[in-house]
Amino acid sequence: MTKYRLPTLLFVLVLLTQIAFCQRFVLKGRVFDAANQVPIQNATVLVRVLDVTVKTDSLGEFRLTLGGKVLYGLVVTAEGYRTAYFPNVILMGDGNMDIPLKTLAQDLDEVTVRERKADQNVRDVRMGTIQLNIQQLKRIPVVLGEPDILKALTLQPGVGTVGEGAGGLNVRGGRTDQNLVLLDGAPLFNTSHLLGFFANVNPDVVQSVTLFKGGMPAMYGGRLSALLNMTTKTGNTEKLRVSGGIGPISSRLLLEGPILKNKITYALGARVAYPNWIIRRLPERYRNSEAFFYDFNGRVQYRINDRHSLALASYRSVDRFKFSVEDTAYNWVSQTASVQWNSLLSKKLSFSVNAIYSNFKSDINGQQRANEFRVRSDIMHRELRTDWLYNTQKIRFEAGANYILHQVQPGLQTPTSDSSNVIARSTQTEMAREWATYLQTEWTISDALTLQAGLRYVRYQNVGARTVSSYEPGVPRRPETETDARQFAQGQVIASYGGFEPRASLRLGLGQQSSVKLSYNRTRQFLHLISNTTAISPIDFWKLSDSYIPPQVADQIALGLFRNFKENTFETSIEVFYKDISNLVEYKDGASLLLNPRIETDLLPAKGKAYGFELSLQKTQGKLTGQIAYTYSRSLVQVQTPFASELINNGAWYPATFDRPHNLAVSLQQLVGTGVFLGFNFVYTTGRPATFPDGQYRLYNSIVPNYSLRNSDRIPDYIRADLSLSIDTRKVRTQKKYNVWNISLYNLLGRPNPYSIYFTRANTVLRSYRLSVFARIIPSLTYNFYF
Amino acid sequence: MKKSFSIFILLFFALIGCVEEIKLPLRDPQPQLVVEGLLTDDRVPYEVKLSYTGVFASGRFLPSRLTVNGALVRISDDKGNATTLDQDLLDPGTYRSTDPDFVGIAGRTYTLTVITPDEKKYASKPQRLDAVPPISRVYAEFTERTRARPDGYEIYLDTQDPAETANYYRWTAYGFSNRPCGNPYLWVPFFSKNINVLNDQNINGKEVKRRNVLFSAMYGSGLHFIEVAQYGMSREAFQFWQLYNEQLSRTGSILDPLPAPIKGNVINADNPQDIALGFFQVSGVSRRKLKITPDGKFSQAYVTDRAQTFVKATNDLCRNGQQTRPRGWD
Repeated sequence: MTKYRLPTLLFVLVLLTQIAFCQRFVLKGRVFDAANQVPIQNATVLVRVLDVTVKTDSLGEFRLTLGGKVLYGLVVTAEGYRTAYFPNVILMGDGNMDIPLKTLAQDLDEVTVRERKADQNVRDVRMGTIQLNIQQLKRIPVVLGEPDILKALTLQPGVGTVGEGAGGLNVRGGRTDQNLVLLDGAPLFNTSHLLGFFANVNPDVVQSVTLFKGGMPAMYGGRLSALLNMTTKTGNTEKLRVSGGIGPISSRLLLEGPILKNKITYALGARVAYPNWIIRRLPERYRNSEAFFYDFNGRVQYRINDRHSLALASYRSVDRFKFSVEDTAYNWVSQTASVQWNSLLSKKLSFSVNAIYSNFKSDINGQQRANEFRVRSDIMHRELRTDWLYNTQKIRFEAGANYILHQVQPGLQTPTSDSSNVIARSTQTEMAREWATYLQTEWTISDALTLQAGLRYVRYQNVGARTVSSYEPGVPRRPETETDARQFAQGQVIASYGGFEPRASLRLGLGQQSSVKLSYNRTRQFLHLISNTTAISPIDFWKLSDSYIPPQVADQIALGLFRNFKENTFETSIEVFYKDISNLVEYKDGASLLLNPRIETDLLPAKGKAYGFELSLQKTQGKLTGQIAYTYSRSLVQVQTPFASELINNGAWYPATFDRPHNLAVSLQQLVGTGVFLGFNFVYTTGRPATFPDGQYRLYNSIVPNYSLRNSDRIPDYIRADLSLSIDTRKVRTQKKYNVWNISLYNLLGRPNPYSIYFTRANTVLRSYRLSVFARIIPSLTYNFYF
Repeated sequence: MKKSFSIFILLFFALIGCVEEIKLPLRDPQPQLVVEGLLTDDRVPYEVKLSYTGVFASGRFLPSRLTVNGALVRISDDKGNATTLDQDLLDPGTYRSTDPDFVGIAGRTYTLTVITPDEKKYASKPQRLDAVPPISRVYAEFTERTRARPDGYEIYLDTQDPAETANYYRWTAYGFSNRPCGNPYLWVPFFSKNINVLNDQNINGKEVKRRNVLFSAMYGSGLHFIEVAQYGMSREAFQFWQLYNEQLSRTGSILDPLPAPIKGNVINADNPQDIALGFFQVSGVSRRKLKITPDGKFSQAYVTDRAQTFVKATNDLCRNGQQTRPRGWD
């Protein structure tokens, strides 16, 4: 008997395969995100018994040919999603399977989340993009206990800031106002709380953060340098989840759950700050100052059916700060709202329609007796857009159009009591229309060659009602050289700009583990943040392009080399970029900006150029993860004017205020025990440029400092190291109720890094001082909970 | 408001932050010429002061020896008249006109040329002298003491702005009043400190009314003698004064406007980018005096008592005090 066993078995197997071969059926399937129906590309479908795997295509679809009437087990895995098991699959004929996957983020599973695919940096045609791992935010050291999206981004190559506590990001030598910051599609005109110390978007509510440093998709425009795209959580589909955190400056709470199971979900997040305990410790004279901020995010998602879904999102951020000595209160409010309708017309064709509203208001209230006043400025953005996507395995088409109405009130001063001595002053409200249309295709020519080519056409019109001054030709433009003032009627076109914006990326794969990428893009910007200060300040205001201020235009080319090692455990990249910018807004020496009704007389056009390279080494798997990034980046400006007296630095190129050539950022996380991580940051940057007096002289019996060359000095270099310990109390990954503690030591070296150098005159003597903001170790403890 | 922000940041983080005086790396820039010159249509002599910029170091006084001595300074007009200014040997860097016949005349254009001892030639852009309208009225109004200053008189002026021209004004004022400088009281001179300039854009052709030019504090019950000067000037000069004023009011924080040099109108003839600091101003001027006789209710004892707390702050003014009543106010 035994001697027949093997041949019999072989016979049966051959027979079985023969039978299987004869009765082959096709199993088609579609893998998609359970929350928003978005197809998941590159998901792996494993057939257990046969050990056969297939990957899903860009539509999330896969196709398997299997023998019928045999029991299989299917295992579907995708990066960032919970694995789905189908232990009992028997094919009785051709079949279809819909496989929804739940994101790990919804489970708050912090340990295995990676929001990007393992080899994305090599495979993706795009370059210069950063996807921030939101879950990791709670593991990196933070200042005063605030997890901060923008601060985490500054640890990335090519992303800088003008200084500790200054709001905004400088991306690849770009200004802070050159970033298009989108929260659920709505642009934010202010990104910070408390004069710039913290980012104003609550990280708990954010689902994904993507920063495009170059190669901006054709879908987006209106800003020169970068796109920071943030989306918020759509809400847990199963049941109510409560999570939050308590820190020394603020507390956070997030509620998410279904209203109608699998149909309507919501996510509500709020953060409230209480920095007044710091103020209470100030000298008595200042103790009556007040500071306060809060922000709120709300999102409701309605899945109408398999093809249609509707999302409503809103955000509000409020800052208030009162300075007791001057009896002045400052308020800043950001408000956005957006409605998005997503529709899947067929498996290959989908579209979305968005209505977007965004508004930023700043308000200065003088409360001194007999001098009560209010200065208000605001910017409003109303947009309607539609985006279409046609997607097959080989080629991907995107097309769309948008229309924006801009409205800006740069400054309006009104007395706020009858006895106030302050006079009413105002600048005219500015109105503009902007519309754009785009087409973009991503064509996978071969496995090694991918081309993404996009073209965007944008048109911009500054319109009345408005009075526009004209000035004497041949002399510098000054209020005193005004010759005429022309009145434009409501809606009448004052100035018109626009043109084509080509965007292109090319990827050449060099084997599975490396690739070379090239990108070029042109961008235009019609909105300018008017700020003659080094840091973003609450008295800055926005200005629209008009007949005197043409749009800023930038051309950026970038070349990158990407290589992964050890099964994508190590990701390395080198990116080189060059950016050429025209029509930057610069300021005449001694310009006065706020409430200036003829602001064009204080502004000068300038050329800009930025160039540099970024080196990055990232370890993405294992007990030790993290990134070492070194950036060399320059950003230079040259003022363009025919008048020698208006030239800045004699017409030579000079560094922009945020030009910090060397930038080294190390961010490491080490798993030291179950759920226990040690986090370490190290940052080195060149000091930012500043203008110090390079001489002094006596004139009319006063000592006058002479600042002959703008930005020709630098404050000392910045060096900082931080350490954190985070403890996740989960015993197993699937545990729903748990806590995460974060203990941070910010500025471990206690180094008094200079924040600014300033000068104070005492009688006839000038003295220079250095101000350091975080001059010692700043410990903090944050508690996060998940119920 | 900008200032308050920097103070706030400073304070908010004072608990964890710190402020230290630092020595910046000393730079040794090429000294730049500084010109302070004024030519008017009233009295001679005209004065031009020349100096160089000095090195900046925290807390260091500007040495006075940076004056330019031995320069050749000339003022010429478009009718071919010229005069050389002589250096005042007791007042380094100061040059004065000595020719009594060389007087500024409205309608003419004047140029200042300076040849420095190192043979660099600077020339001002031609500056036209425009007559300035007369001051129609100077008057004083009594104001009660505040926390910051004693009782005293606010001095105002009115003037009629001509409609047909764009006008730029600057006002200066000085006065004498009685102050307790020990015993007896002295006549102490004082000057307006603010840069007081106006362009007529918003009021063209109307009256400049109640322009505040000086505050005369009351330390004694005696008379106050005030003289106000009204200068007309070019648009460029007006711009210079505005920038000069802004420069002096800056604090230098991260929220201040970016600092900048104040460029003048005197330029190196061989290098147009070498622009001297300071300004050569050519102005029509009109002056007017005012004598204030305080109300009889202000007895010496009453005034002394009310001004008591403020006396100390002004003691250094006594250095220039005189016992005799100033001449010219009868």
